[in-house]
This record gives sequence, structure tokens and C-alpha cells, in this order.
Amino acid sequence: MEILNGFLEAIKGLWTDSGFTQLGWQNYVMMAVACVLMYLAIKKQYEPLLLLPIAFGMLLVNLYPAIMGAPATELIECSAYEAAHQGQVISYATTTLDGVTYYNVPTYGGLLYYLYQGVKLGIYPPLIFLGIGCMTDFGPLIASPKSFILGAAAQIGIFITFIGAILLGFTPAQAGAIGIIGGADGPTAIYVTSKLAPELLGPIAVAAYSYMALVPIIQPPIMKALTTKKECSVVMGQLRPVSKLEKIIFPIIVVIIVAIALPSAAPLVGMLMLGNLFKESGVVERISKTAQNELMNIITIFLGTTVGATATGTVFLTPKTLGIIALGLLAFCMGTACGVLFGKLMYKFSGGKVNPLIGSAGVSAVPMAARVANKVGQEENPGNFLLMHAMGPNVAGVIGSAVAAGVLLSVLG
Amino acid sequence: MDNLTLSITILLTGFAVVFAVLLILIGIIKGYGTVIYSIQNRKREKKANRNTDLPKVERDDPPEPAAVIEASPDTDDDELIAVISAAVYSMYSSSSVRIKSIRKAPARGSAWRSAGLSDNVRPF
Repeated sequence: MEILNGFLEAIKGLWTDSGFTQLGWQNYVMMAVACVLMYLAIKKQYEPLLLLPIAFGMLLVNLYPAIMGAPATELIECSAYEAAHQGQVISYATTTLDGVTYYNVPTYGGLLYYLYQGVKLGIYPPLIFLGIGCMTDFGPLIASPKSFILGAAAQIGIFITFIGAILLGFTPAQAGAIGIIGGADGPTAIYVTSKLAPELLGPIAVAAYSYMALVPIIQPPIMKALTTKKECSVVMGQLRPVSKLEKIIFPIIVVIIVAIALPSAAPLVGMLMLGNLFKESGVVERISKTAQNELMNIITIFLGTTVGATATGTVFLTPKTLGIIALGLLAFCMGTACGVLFGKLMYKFSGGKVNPLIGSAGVSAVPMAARVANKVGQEENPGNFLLMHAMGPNVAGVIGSAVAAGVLLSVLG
Repeated sequence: MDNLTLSITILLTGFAVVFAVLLILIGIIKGYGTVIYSIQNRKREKKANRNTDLPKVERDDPPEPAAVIEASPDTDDDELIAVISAAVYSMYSSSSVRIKSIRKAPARGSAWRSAGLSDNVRPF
């Protein structure tokens, strides 16, 4: 009889601890959302490198919320603790409540809580930038520095969306984090959000990466609406060759200028340029390969999974999330539109030598946005190859969004 | 500061700072780009002038490839020549190079070598 009672108690305890009794409806909805994101990542291949770990992190945290639990202190009656841990040298602090003495026994946090510290402390996004720097060729930008104007123009969407977010009732810090979605740069969005509004990290990361994956769908209608057939079919002249020395000097100059002007952008731009110097110097090939492959992959796993794990049901399923998703789309569209409009200005001032479509690539999203500009240009003129011309504003957009992030962090941080 | 004032302040500050920083970069990159490009061009010209005695180099002629092609019959020869000429031109950045013949390299090396090569030349 005692054994049966013990068995039933054990089963009851397991049932009480199980997800069947612990989880709310929000967790189940989030599991469904996670499954949809996994479907999009695997079947549709929408940014799978990040969307897949994000979706799985989302699934994990909603199945077992304690996996993101912070370390805490548990009060355990001294006599009970000593009985359970005979022979242990106990050095915990004690607390006395109503004449009973308790040990303050520390409990450990969940696995993802510790991995998440890299996001919270702003470590992972700059490391991702290091890898991106190793993979980026700034040659087209050096050959045509005016591309920087298009990279800057596409950041206007960030600041216009900031106003929209304020009008929707978000705090200034939250509005800044939402606006940065318009930079179309995942690591920058995560970095700024982790500093300004960590409570919105889940929705903002999901919105940013979803829209980046949807660049080929979101951008072309805006590009076509704002340009004429004549403008779209402009064939741009060949870019001048860029020497190795120019490529080596570029990251050093950019980091000096940006870090002096905007110190808060230094972690992102600094790591981006360090990675690029690794690549262009040609003397640290091993480091460069590690940064763009193994290190980047490891950080991507940690970053994606832990950012996804911030999207718990109670945080994600609020009207605010819908607002963030709508504002993120607005930011993206405004960034694209401003880039194209500045491209049109350059078309006018250059006497028709610049194809305005390349302005849309100023929203970062490397190299997808440049590919989209090339594809839309080829719809008008199949022999028109805009890819290298669009890569200039595209990589300028990466620097531009980091600078915009620096402005937001300086003013709102 | 109320929220509307803050919003407009952020818009103007962001707009001004992003453009200012990137315009400074444009100026500096244009400046050093022009200097380096002209110095390197001058060096290249000097080198080319020194080599004018060599019979192989005919600088004034356009690079007309006198090609000996041994490619598979289904390959578009003109396109192949154009691609190879562009690659050679992009490597040497000079019109003083003449392509006299193009031959297919004999197949050699292992699958590991091919995999390593394709890994290194793959675009990101």
C-alpha cells in the first residue's frame, strides 16, 4: 500500500511539473508560430540560417520556460538541507524567519539564460559584424564613394518610423529600437534593441529577419512605382579598378572617422572594419576564414536560439507586437523609397548616368537588396548588369545603419 | 521635452549626423582614392614605358586575342574568349596585355583539390 501511494505521489508530482499543467494558451499559440517560422525557414528557405534557430529557440522556451530562467536564491530550512546533504561543508548565508533558520541556496539559471548574456551584454552582434566584415568587398563603394549618399538616404526610414512608433504610444527608447528595423540589418537591430528596449527583442528580431527575407517581395513594387522605364533602363559605366592599398586603407579610415564622430557606433563599425582588414590585408587568412566560418556559425546559433527564446507567449502575444510588425514594414518601405528617391536625384544631377534602382540597395540586407536592384533593372533591359553598382550602396547601408544606431544609442541610451 | 518635439529632434539629428559622417567619408575616400590611383597609374605607365623595347608588348593596339581554342564543341567560343579576356584584364588592369592563345588545361588533381578551389572562389 505504501509503495502504491508513493507511486501515485510520484506520478502526481510529474503531472504537476509537466507542461500539461504549467503552460498557458499563449505558449501553445507561440509553438504554432514557431512551427510556421520553421516551415518558412526549411521549405521556403527564408533566411534559414537565422530563422531556423530563432524559431527553435521560440519553441523551446514555450515548451519549457525555465530554460531562460535567471539564477535565483532558494530558502531551504537548515535542518532539512543538512539532512539531505550529509557531510557537505555548508557555506551559504542564512536567513531567519519566524524563528526558523534557512540557508540561502543559489539555484542555477536555464541553459539559454547563460547563452543569452552574449545578446544582453552586446557581444554577439559585433562578433557577427566581424564575420560580415571578412566576407564583404568594399571595392564597389571605394570605386564609387557617392554610393554612401544612397546608403545614408535609406536610413531616413529609421527616423520616420521612430515618429510613427511614438505616435502609437511606444516610449522613445522602444521607438528607437523599432525604427532600427528599417536599417534591414539583423545584428544592428538586435544590438540596439538589447541596449534600448530588451523587452521587445523577440518581436523586433522576428520582424527584422522576416522582412529581410521578404526583400524580393517588398522592394520591387516600391522601386517600380517610384521610377520610370527610362530611369530603370539606364546602363551604368564600368567601375574603376580598386587597388589593394585602397582596400586596406578603407577600413582603417572608416573606423577612425566613425568612432571619433559617434563612439557608440564603435563596437559595430569597429568589428566590421576589423573583419574587413583581416580580409584585405591578406596576411591573416586563417583568422579571416575562422571569423567568417566557424566563429560566425557558432555565434549565429547562440544569437538565433537565444533571441528566439525571448519570444514567450506573454511577451509576444500582445497588441504591441502587431504594432511592431506594422511599423517594421513601414520602416523597410520608407528606407527603400528614400533610397530610390535619392537615386532619382543622383540620376538628375549626373545627367542620367546613375540608375535610381541602385538606391533601394541602401537598406543593407547584403547582398539580397543588391540582387533585387539588379533583377528589377534586368526586367527593363536584360543586358543591364547593376549588381556591382548596387553593391556600393548596399555595403554603404551597413555602415549607414551602424551610424544611425550610434545616433539612437547616443540620444536615447 | 514632449514626445513630438523629441521625435522631430531625433529625425533631424539622425538625418544630419548620418549624412555628415558619410559625406566626410565620401570626401576622404575620394581624396585618397584619387591620390593612390594616380600614383599607381603613374608607376604602371613608367613600367610600361620601360618595356616599350620589348617586341611582345604593343601598347597602342587594342587587346585582340589571337586565340587557339581547344574547348568542347558545345561551348560558345566568343563568349568564352570574352570572359577570359575580362578576367585577365581585371587581374592586370592594363591594356598592354595581349592574349595570344587560350588552351584548355589538362584535367589534374583530386576531387579534394577541386572542392577546395570551389570553396575559395565561391561568392558569399
